[in-house]
Amino acid sequence: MNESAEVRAAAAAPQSAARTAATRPMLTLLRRELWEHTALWIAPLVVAAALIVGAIFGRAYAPAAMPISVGDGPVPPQGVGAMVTTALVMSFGAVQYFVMSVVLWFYATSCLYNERRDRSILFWKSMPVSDAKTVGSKMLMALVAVPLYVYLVTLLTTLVAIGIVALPRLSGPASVSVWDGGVWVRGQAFAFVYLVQSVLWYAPLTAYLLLVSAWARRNVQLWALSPLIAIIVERIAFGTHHLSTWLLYRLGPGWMSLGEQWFERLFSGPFYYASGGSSRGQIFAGMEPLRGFENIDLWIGLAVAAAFLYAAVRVRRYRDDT
Amino acid sequence: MTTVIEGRNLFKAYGANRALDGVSFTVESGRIVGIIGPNGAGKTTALKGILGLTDFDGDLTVLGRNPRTERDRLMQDVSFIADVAVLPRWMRVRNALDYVEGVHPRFDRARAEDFLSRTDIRQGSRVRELSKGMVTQLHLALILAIDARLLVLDEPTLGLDLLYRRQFYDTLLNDYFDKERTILLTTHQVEEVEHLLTDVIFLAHGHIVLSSTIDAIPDRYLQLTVGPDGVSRARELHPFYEREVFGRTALLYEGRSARELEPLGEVRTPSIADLFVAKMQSPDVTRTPGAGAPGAAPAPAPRATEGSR
Repeated sequence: MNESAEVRAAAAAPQSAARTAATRPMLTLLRRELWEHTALWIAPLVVAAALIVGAIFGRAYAPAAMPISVGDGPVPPQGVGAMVTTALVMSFGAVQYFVMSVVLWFYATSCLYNERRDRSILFWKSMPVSDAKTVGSKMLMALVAVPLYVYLVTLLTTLVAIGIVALPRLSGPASVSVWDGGVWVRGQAFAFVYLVQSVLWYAPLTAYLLLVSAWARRNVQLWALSPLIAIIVERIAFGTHHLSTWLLYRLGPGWMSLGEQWFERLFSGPFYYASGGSSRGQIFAGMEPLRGFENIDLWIGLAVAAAFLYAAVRVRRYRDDT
Repeated sequence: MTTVIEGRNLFKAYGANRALDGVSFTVESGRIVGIIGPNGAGKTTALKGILGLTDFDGDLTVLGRNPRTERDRLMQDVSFIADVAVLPRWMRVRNALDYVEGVHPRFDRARAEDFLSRTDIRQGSRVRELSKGMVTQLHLALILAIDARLLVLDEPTLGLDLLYRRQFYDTLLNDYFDKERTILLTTHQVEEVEHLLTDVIFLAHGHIVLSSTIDAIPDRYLQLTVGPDGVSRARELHPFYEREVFGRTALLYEGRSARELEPLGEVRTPSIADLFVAKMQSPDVTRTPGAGAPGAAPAPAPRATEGSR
């Protein structure tokens, strides 16, 4: 090595000692969750596949001219599209979001518990990632990434299913249109707003489950369900049921409760429309999705969620049971 | 040479058991320090304190930071292998590389892949499919590719066969260690690491029983081996430990010169393993924990025969 090469090497040495590569910590933490908890991304696909298979069977075996009637008489052809579209958007959404809540329950209760049980927390903690970032990535996964993903999968599934249902028959009379684009767009928009509201409404539950997951030494599911034991104790000891009333409110669709009789209307809406004369706007009449944000309990719940999350970060930082 | 770790009056109790009972020590850069002690001596507690994984009383600074409040920033400069079992079993080798690359600014993926290519580990394998030795190799590959200033190893070769153990320490010395870096390790297998240490700390019942550089040990400790007729004269010089091996007696002395001992028998520097066994059985250690400070004037030396433990 000649002199100038040595000089260059010497000059480069401090740089290489301080060499740092660009990192993407939050993205990496989220990817890491998907590696461990594969159900988060596989379950919605499995459900979507089942729904599409269901649509194919429905299309194949449905009678050639299925008479659709509501109340007094048959639905006029122009109402069928609105009905089928609404039914698909609603039923697919219901199945997907139910499965999602089951998957997220198990995700939230296990994500901070498994790492302590298999002691891999010692590996995770050997990395320059703060406890706040770690817990935050899990909350972000449960609160934003998974719901958004399930929403998009459901949206695409309804499109595929409608396409299948609308396939022209090989024989028999030409089928009526089962597609009502306007209804579909509005349905997806409402579904999105309600999804956002429900995710925010259940955020304290998610954060509570993360805290239990970070805290429980064993029997994490039992601890997660411990409020139910408190209800029984209250019943037996005091003969009251304040706790169960409150919990039912918090666990129920409180985020929807402000739209007046929207549920009945949502179901009857297409029929109003179908029975003719009414405007398309009536399908979702009575639904006031944005009013959910006016419920003060939603915001109190978010504050409680933040407190649970903070506690989960503290517990992960200071609990030492490895 | 800079101070990497400075701990003063570290105290930690689990219930009535004092895992660390007023421990103070300093570790300088460019050293390989072995913390050696029996089970429950407080080794792992001390390491966990240094890594910010557990609470304790006292002052502790690692690379100028408080490990308790700044663990995440500290971990940019500190690597650790807790023991062989902590890589998550569901993880694929490729995921492990992706993960460390994504969160660690000092990770050199090419280096880790180069190391792995010299092993039988496939990137598509899951950790649960690897043997214990291979999991350690994988962890080592990740650690070696991190440009850290302090490496902490807690029983890193526990449960590995001899081949993997030897390979582990060889790789550590040849591919990792340099004068800028510091290694702190605990192990039971004293013989295996004594040739690579620059410093030793013996820990028992939460106390430091001995803290020395390896270079200073020959000046401080001597082992004298005598036949049956020389034992009484040898005992007059107050050994702190003695044991009988095949009819001869080995006695350990602290602070005696070779000149004093040579007329009595064969003199040599005790191995770290011998010194460890001796120190662990000396009266100020075997006494009830917490009773009196270590290093008190030795009482009549305890006697042990080979295999008595």
